Amino acid sequence: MKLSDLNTSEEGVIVKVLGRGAFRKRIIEMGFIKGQLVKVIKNAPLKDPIQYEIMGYEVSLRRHEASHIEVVSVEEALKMDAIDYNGVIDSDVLKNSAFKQGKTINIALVGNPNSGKTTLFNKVSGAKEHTGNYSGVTVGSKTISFEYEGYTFNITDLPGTYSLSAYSPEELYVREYIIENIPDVVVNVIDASNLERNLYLTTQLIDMDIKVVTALNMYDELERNGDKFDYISLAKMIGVPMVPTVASKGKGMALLFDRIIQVYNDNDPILRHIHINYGKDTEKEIAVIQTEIYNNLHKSIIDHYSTRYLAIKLLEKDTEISALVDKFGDQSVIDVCNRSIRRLEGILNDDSETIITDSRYGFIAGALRETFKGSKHQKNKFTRVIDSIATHNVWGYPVFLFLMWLMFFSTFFIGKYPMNWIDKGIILLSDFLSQNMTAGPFKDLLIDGVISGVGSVLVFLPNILILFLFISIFEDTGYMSRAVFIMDKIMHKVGLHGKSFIPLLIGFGCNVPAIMSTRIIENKNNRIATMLIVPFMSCSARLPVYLLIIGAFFSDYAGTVLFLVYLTGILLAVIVAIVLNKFVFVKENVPFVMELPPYRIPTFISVVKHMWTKAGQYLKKMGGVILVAVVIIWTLSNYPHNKAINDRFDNSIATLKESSLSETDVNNQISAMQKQKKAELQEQSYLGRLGHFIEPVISPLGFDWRMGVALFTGIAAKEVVVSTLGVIYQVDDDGSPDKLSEKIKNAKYDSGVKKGQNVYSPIVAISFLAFILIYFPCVAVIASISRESGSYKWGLFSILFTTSLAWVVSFVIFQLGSIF
Amino acid sequence: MIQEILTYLAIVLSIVFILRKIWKIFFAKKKTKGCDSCSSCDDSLIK
Repeated sequence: MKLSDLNTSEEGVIVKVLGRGAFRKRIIEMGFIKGQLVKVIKNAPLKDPIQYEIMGYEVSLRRHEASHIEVVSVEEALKMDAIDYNGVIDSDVLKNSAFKQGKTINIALVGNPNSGKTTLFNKVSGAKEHTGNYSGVTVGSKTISFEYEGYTFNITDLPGTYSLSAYSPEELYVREYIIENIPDVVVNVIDASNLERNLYLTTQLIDMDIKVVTALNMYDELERNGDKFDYISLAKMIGVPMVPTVASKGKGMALLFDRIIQVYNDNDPILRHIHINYGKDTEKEIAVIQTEIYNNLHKSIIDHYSTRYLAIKLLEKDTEISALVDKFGDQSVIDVCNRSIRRLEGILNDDSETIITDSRYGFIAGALRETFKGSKHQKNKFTRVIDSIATHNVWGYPVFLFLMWLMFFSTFFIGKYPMNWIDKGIILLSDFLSQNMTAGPFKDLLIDGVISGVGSVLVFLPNILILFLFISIFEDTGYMSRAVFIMDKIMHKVGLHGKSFIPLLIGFGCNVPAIMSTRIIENKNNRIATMLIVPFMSCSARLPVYLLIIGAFFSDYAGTVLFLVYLTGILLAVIVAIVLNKFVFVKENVPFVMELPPYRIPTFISVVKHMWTKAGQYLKKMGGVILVAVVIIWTLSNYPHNKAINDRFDNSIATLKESSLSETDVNNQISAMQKQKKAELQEQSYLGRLGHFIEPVISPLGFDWRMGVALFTGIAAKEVVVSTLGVIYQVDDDGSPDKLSEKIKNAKYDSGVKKGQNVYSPIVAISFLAFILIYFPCVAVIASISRESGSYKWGLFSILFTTSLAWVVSFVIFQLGSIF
Repeated sequence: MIQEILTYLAIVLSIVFILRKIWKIFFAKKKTKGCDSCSSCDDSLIK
């Protein structure tokens, strides 16, 4: 009986807690566990909540929560054991009855029509049910019981269905049966000779977040076909135990029921709940609807259904779920859902139902691609032809590398035209202000600081948009999934299988959301290892620095150099992952399915939306952190005013003007003196002092104090490296409209033993690029690592580790490069 | 004179902005929600 059926002052012992996921966990955490004695303190009819006593304390449960707890009452115990009852019953007797009752497992058999479900049902029960499809509205189910290994199995054979949508009465019946009756275990019978279609139903059961065991029926047919199926790996990936069976011959039955017992007792090593990834855009809308469901749907529905499942069903336009939400929720849930559907359909230019269906088949395709090799595994012809190259064991890699190279080449080659236009616009604005503003500190701040510093970063906006255009096209066509798929094979060997890829991919955009997305990795060690290697993925903030340096020193083969920088980051991540997994963390892989959705032509709206979002973020950063950093850097490079230097140069210039030299000579010398004065003032500024303070540490890497300062300010955000160089080299501007890259190329040492020598050489540039790639990820990333790992220790470790590694790598590059 | 006031104002506002940013990154509490019903997930880090 249900706990909610016990009357005031009655006692019962808990047999099992039904329900799923978070709801079940919460109830169990409250102390309602198998074998516990519970007494009803107050249960007024039709009143909520009900008051209970358990483990010596009082607790209230809502009626619908109590209805999920099965108990053995005194009355039931007496019936079961025929005890001599004299008004008092020993709690041990009650517990013994509960133990016996707890050995009853309720099973629901679900599967596609003709998957051999009823054959299995007949075989285990000895029944002679007619095997065949159900039809019309007269759908029903048969339940039989039998004993095995001390357990009583109540098996219900449900109608065969291809899915759990609300299209046919059979589908609806099966779905409602599972939701209403809450079977302990659902056995999904699959026709092993037709895996792709049969696993579709499995994906829906996974979404429902229920305990599932899969019977791979007719496994002999699969073997006869010569197909090779690594079902153990597939089971681990999807978190559903799989047992090969041949129901007609009774093969695999014992193994199947042993597995069911393990799952029932929550001690199956494979069983876990996973989330099928429906793609970036769909997942975003699922999250929006889920939040609305949390806030505005009746608690009893949320406890009964997984909110993610509800959100997916609403996106699929499931009429039954929509009606349920309409009945028990606020109109806002339906409104939010309709808006999400419109947005999703607008972006992907397809019906939301089709989008979800395609994603499910993509999930299945990805899962089978890794585990199944067979003659009958068919896919969409177009997808099959492209995949034969894109995911080929050998050709897949050169194709991937070529496409990556093409992306970086285009970023540079196409990007240089709009980049020049923006640059000219900035020079025009600078000239305009220079001519129309009266002299003063604010004018200097605007021209030498803000315009020069922010402008030097702004010019790279087109390059960033081009990069994201390519990434967006790769994602939307489905190629990115293939890239991840082929890389997964390599990464699997270094202990970074599966889910680690998603954060690493996000890391190319920005490392902060990448660190946050490591939450999807269940294993803590894997999660921290992934967090520590995410900073090696070159984020878009580092791109302006790369473009500046590469444009100045390697413009003839810029795309290739840029590609190599990114590739170096990936290789470093791989090496560090190997080291971390070998020495710091014990490797523990959690299998994961790489979805392989069918190829599709990306929609214009989707691509533009991604680029627009990226442009917005970049401009926002420009008007925020970068602008503020530029003001501070300008201040530090212009203060304190050094009166002695000013007076010395002013006196020299005055003397020069009174000399007998020709006017041209005087002007040339004055210009040189003013340049020298500005350089000396800058060296004596707060920024100069800071630069000279850190110079001894960075000079073995070939860097001067200005580069040191830029690296230091880059801690705030990597674009600030470019802004800082923009502000610093603005001082040297002698009126020529040179671009920052030209100024860097011609930069010379102002003092010391290297005075007059060029600061930069190609080898210094490579050393600098390597340092930028590896060193201290920005402050926000460190804060994210600390927060997500739950300890500042890992944030600190990341700072020390990346910066030390950057120093060593740059040192080796510069010192070795200087020899040749 | 006006230029000097504007310059100092820009500097002060920038410092305030930076301090606020540091506060937000390191000390402000983030409102995040745990994922739904993943009994298999280690929720301990998802606050």
